[in-house]
Amino acid sequence: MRRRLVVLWLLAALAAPLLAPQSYRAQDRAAVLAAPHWGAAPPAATTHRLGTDEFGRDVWSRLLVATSLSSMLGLAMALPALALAVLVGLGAALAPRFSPLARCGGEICRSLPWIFVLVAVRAALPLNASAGAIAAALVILFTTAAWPLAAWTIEAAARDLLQREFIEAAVLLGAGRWHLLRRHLWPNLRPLVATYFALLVAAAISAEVSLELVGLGLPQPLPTWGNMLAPLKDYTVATRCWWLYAPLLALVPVLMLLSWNVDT
Amino acid sequence: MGGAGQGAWNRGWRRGVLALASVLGSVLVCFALAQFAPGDAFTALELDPALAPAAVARLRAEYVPGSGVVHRFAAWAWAAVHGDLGYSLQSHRPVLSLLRDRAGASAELMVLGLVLAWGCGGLLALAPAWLGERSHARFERILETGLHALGSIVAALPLGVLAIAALVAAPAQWLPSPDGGSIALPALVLGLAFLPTVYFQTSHALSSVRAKGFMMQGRAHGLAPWRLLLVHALPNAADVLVPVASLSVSQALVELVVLETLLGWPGLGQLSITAAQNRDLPVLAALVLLTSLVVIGCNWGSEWVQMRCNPQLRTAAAPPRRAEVEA
Repeated sequence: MRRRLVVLWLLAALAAPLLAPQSYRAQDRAAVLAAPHWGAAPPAATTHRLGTDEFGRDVWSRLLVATSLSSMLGLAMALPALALAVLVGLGAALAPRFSPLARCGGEICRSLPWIFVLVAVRAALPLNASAGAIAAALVILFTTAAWPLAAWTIEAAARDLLQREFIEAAVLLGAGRWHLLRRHLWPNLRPLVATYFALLVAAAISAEVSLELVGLGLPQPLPTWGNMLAPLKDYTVATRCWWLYAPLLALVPVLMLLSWNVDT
Repeated sequence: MGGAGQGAWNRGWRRGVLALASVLGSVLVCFALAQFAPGDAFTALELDPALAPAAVARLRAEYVPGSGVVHRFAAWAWAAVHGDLGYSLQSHRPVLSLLRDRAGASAELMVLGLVLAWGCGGLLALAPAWLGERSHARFERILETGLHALGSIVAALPLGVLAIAALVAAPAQWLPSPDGGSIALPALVLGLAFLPTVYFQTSHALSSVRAKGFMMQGRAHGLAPWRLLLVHALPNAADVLVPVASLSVSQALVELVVLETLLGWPGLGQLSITAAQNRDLPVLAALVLLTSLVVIGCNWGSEWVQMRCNPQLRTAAAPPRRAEVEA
């Protein structure tokens, strides 16, 4: 069930921009902060199903593109962190000599005040830095900060497995490290890795949204969930323009789906 | 005993080296970035028609010592060791006094928020356990399911969204104002953000302790439910909860940046964002230094408390080597 929902989310994230009726950056200056319109038949070009934002951009079109961008950025932040964690965790379990090194490296990375470093990175980049550069900074810093905990858990689980009888039997039958990894460790570790994947993606999306709200994420006018929620920082807009909360309709279910049934 | 003492000494030594490496590493990253970044704090001054290019060049020569990143870093580290963190390029004040002014506000917010989270989260986790000890097992289950569902919803919301929701819902006198505003709003949001983690971790730790033999024995002896929970279960759960508490401090440091910026609380987080906007490298370097010191201090503190609580850790912390086991 949960796996199907995740696949559905990923498909929706891929297909959403194709369904956008208007460009995400087209400004309709005649309809700034217009409320959603569902009435019959105004000219097609000016219909705003979910209203418009403070620049008169169509919220529905922006939401569709934002769902795709934010989901992809979340995945892009979480996947390298997970890959590094799996690599280091399994490596440390199979080659115990490597284990203290992994521990030290992890502790150094974990005590890095990553958001302050991110702020410093943002200061170092020019004011009109490209979205790619900022996304790269987000990916690198998130990976650096997030891999250790996952790696240590995976290492502990792999070590636990390595002491079981079926591994011993495989070793006595002459199995090499590669065979152990592929046929015995990986199938048993897959649920744990999947759980960490979900947790890391949720953490990445959550961090990304919060950072965009303070202006540290992908630059405007690119629509992301955080960028779309940013106008709500203005008290008048937040209390009057309820349609600007639309990104929550996508964001909250996705985060709930990812952290659903995951035991903390 | 001598072996254990030697082990502790080695561990302490290793931790010290690690801590130094991570502090220096973080600050060095900061410096390297500033070195390779196009422009600096004086780029904006070059556009000012009232200033001659020579004057800007003189300012730059005065405030940006040396050229190589290693040279700058070494000069900064040498001064920092002597208690001089440099001079803020933006507010024209020593960085140390700037930090001293702001750190109080951040510390106040963090302490209040975390006390709220741990107080309420602890009580919420104790309530179902207390009901269970009083043999209302069905109510325990209902309450626990409800709290779990609520907790997962709050945990799924990013901090920024929580802050905006709080801004909309708060009474007028709590809203941020130019002269600071009330601490109630940021503290509540911080507390709410940490509540689910605290609740889940405490209730998980309590339920695993409650399944142990000594708890059953206590029940058989007819100990009062509150005594069983507070005197017997909670101290045994502390072993798990202390690292979580220390982790929540370092996590809160990260959250402060977002929270203070959105809710207008004049602390270190807000300072970091304004420093970033003005490319005020001395302030940023000092902030990175300060936060990494706090994180490392928390890690050490939690380890020390754990060692005090659980004597087993003192001897078993170093895993036995293969040769020793086989011998």
